[in-house]
Amino acid sequence: MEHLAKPQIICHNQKSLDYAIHDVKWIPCSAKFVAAGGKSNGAGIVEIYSLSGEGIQKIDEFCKKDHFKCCTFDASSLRNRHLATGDFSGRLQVWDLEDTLIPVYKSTTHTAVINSIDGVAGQSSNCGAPEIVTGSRDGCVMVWDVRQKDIPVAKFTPLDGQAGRDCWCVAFGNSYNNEERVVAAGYDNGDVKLFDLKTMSVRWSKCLRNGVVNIQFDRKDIPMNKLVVTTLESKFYCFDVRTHHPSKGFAFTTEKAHASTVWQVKHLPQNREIFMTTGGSGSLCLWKYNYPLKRVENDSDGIPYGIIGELQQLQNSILSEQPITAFDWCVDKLGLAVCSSYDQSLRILITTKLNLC
Amino acid sequence: MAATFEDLQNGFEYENCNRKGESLLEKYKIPIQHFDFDYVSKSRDANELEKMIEVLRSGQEGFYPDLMRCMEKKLSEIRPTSKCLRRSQKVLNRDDLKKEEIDSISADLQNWAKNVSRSSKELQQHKTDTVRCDVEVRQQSQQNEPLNLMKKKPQKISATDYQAWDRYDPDTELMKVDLQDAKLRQKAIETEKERRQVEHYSLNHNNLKELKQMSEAEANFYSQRELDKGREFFRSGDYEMALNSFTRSLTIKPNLISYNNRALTQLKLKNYQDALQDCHKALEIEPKNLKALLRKGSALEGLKMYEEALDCIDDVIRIDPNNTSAQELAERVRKFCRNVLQNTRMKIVEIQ
Repeated sequence: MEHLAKPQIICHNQKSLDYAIHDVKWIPCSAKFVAAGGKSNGAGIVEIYSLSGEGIQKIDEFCKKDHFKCCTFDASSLRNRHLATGDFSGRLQVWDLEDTLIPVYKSTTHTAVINSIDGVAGQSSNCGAPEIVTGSRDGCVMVWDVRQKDIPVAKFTPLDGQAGRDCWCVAFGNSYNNEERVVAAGYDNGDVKLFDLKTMSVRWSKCLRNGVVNIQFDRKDIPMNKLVVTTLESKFYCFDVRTHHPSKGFAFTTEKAHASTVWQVKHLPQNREIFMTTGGSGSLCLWKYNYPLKRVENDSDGIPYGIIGELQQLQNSILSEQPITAFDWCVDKLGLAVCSSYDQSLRILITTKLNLC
Repeated sequence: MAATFEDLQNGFEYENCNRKGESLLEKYKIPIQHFDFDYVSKSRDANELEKMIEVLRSGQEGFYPDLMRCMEKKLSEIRPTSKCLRRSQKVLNRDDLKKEEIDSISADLQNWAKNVSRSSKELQQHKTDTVRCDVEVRQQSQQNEPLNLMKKKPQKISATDYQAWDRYDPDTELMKVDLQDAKLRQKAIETEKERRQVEHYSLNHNNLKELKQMSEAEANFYSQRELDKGREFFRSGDYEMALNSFTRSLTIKPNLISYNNRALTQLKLKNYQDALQDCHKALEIEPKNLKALLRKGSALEGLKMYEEALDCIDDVIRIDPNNTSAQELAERVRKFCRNVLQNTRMKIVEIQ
């Protein structure tokens, strides 16, 4: 009986493409998604697909000069649904998908590939201005507001004269009102840094043993609660970022999975305690975080410290032979997701029984 | 056969990992007598079983499939969540499912796609080029400090630097450490206080103007998102924040589910009067809603209006006779009701 209640991952549709897919994202409030990547001749391409009961159809596409590395809709309103992209030569561009001749907004401040991009406040109200954050190989993390041309509204750069570490991933969080906001960034040397945008300072930093591949808060628009960090060599960390202790830091737990790089972590938009990790061995793991009985305890000095709960593996499935490098849950439909892997194929996944977890 | 191959592969990996040349059995120091059906079936030690399974899987001690299966079965009894028992399976493809299942999934998707496309079209009509936002563009007041990525080493006094040691006063150093500790403690307490305030972060009503401009599709989207958020807060026990989220969901668009959820949250916070009101609102939308009736019953119980509560629960039981929580509640409430009755009942005195 228990076995039957377990969520199952079903591959509903599969489509092979003729280019390297670097990122996939659902267009909010629609049955469409975009695939961004690059062709073998070096050109970047974004394709728009529509999903129906039978399968997926390509509706539109546009090509630009350089490979698109990453994209997001999160900083754009539901009415506009502009796509922000980062490409191999460090351009940040924001596109109106109906008129893709010239970008709505662009910046060329980054000098190397933008590895990661994230947006905030586009589709939720009362949590500050819509902003985009980009992390690049040049070591800089920059925050952008599309209302301000050319200059980033915040910038975290390495010291002069020091070679910056390659920033592999960025994520917004703690954006629960108009003032508070943090950016989490992960670097190739295993550093994880938490930048506070209100005070413009480094709020927390920690060095993990391996390069940080992906990072995500369980939700962006609440007081920060949990942070999941995935690294090379099959390990990922789950921090309880609610309570910080001066010497103990944040409570955390680690898990080993996939027997290779953990490429992605994506929390389910409908339930923040459930998240999917994707691996270099082509496997998908579905996890659920269970809170401890008491989340905060006081030490002998009366200083509160956090207590970590435990992670439960709900499902472990093998999907492909190649690493699954991009994954996105659909916000509008529980259990619907799209992912892409290095074998140049798109897959539509349906995860059943998530509401029972 | 497939399992055999997998196990051999695992064993190969372990042999590669083990540099010192000691086998796993030696490493874990498990007596060889423990590798026995009788011992395993009586064992209560999950940790040891996990290690024993690991030893067997490594293949270093030979290949004993039956014993391993026996261990795994035992482990699944004492520790069903053990990491040793995690198995990967293939993602189900269309061919693996029955035709009806695929059809129902496809129909569901089709249906959803149709609905969502309608809202998508509606949103497209409201398309604007400007970014509407009351919050100002972030001003960079001061150039923040660049990140120092080199690790700074604390300066140590070398053993031969006698002059420096002459100047070194252990008492002041100790004081410094104490002071630093105290400062940290103070800071931690302050941040904790801030966090507490965060939990009570209040609803902003200044976006009511924005609400009126919201289209149907947007209202549905936002309302659903707040509902999801509220449910999450509720599950993790942050009832105050859950209450806020449900209220927001209701301000954006009144709906049955949010009323029901807010009623339950109010019950948890022991605001029975408010819970009662939410139940009434929910029942206005759907008069025979089971959850709303049940929560109304609980709220009335909290307000010590036992007879009304019993009436309400009777309604629930009439609709769903097998509802256990309703029956429990009824039992509890009836006790109080009977007390009332007992008090009014006339005493029967036997007359000889």
